Amino acid sequence: MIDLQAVSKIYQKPGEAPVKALEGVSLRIGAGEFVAILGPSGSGKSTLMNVMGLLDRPTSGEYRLDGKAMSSLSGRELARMRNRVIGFVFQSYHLLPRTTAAENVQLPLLYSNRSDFAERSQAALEAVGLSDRRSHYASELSGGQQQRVAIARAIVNEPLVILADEPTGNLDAAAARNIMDLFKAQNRRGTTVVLITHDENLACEARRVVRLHAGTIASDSPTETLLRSA
Amino acid sequence: MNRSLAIRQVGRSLIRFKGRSVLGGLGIVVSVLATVFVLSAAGAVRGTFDKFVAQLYPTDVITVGSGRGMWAGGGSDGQPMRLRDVDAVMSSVPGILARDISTVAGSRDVKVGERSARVVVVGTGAQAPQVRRRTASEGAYLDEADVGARARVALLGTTAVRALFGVSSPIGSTIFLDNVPFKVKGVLEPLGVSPHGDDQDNVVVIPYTVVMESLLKVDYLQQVGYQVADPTRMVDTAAAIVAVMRKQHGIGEGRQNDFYVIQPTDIQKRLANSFGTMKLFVVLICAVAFLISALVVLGVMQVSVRQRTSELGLRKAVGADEPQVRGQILWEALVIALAGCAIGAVLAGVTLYATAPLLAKKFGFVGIGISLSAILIGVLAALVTGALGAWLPARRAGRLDPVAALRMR
Repeated sequence: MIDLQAVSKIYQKPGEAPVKALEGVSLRIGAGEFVAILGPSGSGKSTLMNVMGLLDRPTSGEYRLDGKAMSSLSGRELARMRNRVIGFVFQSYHLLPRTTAAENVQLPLLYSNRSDFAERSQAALEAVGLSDRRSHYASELSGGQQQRVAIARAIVNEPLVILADEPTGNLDAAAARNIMDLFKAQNRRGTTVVLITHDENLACEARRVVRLHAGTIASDSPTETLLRSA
Repeated sequence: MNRSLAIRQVGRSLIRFKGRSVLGGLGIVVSVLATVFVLSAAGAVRGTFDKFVAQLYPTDVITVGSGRGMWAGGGSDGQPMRLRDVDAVMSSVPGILARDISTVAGSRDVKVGERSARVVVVGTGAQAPQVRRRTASEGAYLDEADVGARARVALLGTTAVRALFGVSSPIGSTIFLDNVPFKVKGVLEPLGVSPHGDDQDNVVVIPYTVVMESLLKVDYLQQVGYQVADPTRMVDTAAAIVAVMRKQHGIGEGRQNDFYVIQPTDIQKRLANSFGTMKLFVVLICAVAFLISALVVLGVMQVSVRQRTSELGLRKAVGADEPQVRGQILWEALVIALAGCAIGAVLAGVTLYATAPLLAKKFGFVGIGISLSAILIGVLAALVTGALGAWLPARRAGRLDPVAALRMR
């Protein structure tokens, strides 16, 4: 599903020393996996997510998504891939203010050709247990509910991969639990889930943990071995 | 792109940012108002002039006058025009239906009992109603007997009637013009105010023979209007008149006329010329108005894009490409522009119809109203303005880096 070969990302601001956010990262994530990318801030995990999510192009290296090479795609084709293949979940939800839950969920459908947007957004909201809140504005929902709306938005177009960047960072324990359960449920249905976090405990919810350190992969192992060694 | 969703999203977005939408639309409203007002004013001035000119120089009337005329620099070094010249033209030029000799004697005091008024005195002949298209609305016009006998009879304009008689009928009464008694024969059709602001109803019309003999004490004529039977033969008829006049005045070959001839087409050309210049200024004024509103749209959409950077970043993350994000901003601006245009047109229409009677009374404006072309021009200009103003912000929005945009909050 996700296949990174020696991917590097170097930020170069004029007059400053180049910053190597990622350095020769090679990583394969198969379809249906649930992987946590674990690392402290500055380890390059957000850059990795941006590259995997096609929001940013690597400086060097090869990235294949769903079997297709991404380096040759145009901006428009990348946008299409983001729309069909990837669902994002952000730490700060990124819901549109003064817009209802249903309309927020429909946002990715705006850029697809699907006409059954009402049914789809309803189904997605049902999947996150918020079908009764569809006419509520984002500001009328709790943090946990807002993040569930964001997850509904991520899954509404039935993506192959969900990329979640610190999705529980702003939530209390109960709400965080609920969010993780939703990811697991999606994963059980076959969706690949990539969870980016700095939280060891949260990472252990995944079935595989990739540790990033200073832009390189420090370790990559199934969660069972981690738990056994602990 | 999902069209029906996209339309809803644009509408939703405009409602979400009401203040911004209103501000952006306001510039367009003002521009459309300005454009419609200026266009209507120009149209009204044109209409008023046309009506006035049609009265002064009807399309089937050739005007001949003493001297070289104001457009040839004036001067009267030759002979003035006399009645015998007019008779010669009438007897030897074919295709002339009627002639009107008009002689203006200027403003004079007219008295009735205790009341008096300053009124413009005009001398005409019996054929004036046919040539000048102004007859008596009450009583009767001058007849050939009045003119031949130098009868002391008069017709009054409605303003003069009001000043001298109030609401009672003046017909049969006696007025005093320079202390000479005249019997009132009729009331003239009202004409209203001329474009120069003169009240064309503050007049008294008497036989031109009386004006020449008693008031001006001259034996020559100021101006004659010849009504031609066939306006398409205007040029030939005018040439024939010129030939007769030159012969009458004994003007040899190669020497200038000592009289002037005005054909209606000359007047039309002059009018078209002056209004061409005016049109240019009207267009410039409208262009400046719309340029300013384009800048307002630019500012408003610029702020909007800046405020919504993270939203636009999110849209890119969920699959919007550059043209789609750019299109969203452009469509928002176009909807704002169209709404502003509609509101402006309605406001302008209401204002114009509310003030039309007042303008007609004060300045004699006729034909005030919104024309279809003014509306079309307004809509087109508003659309161009919206697109022009929103283009730069929309391009900026389209090119946003989603990673950086998502980091903004």
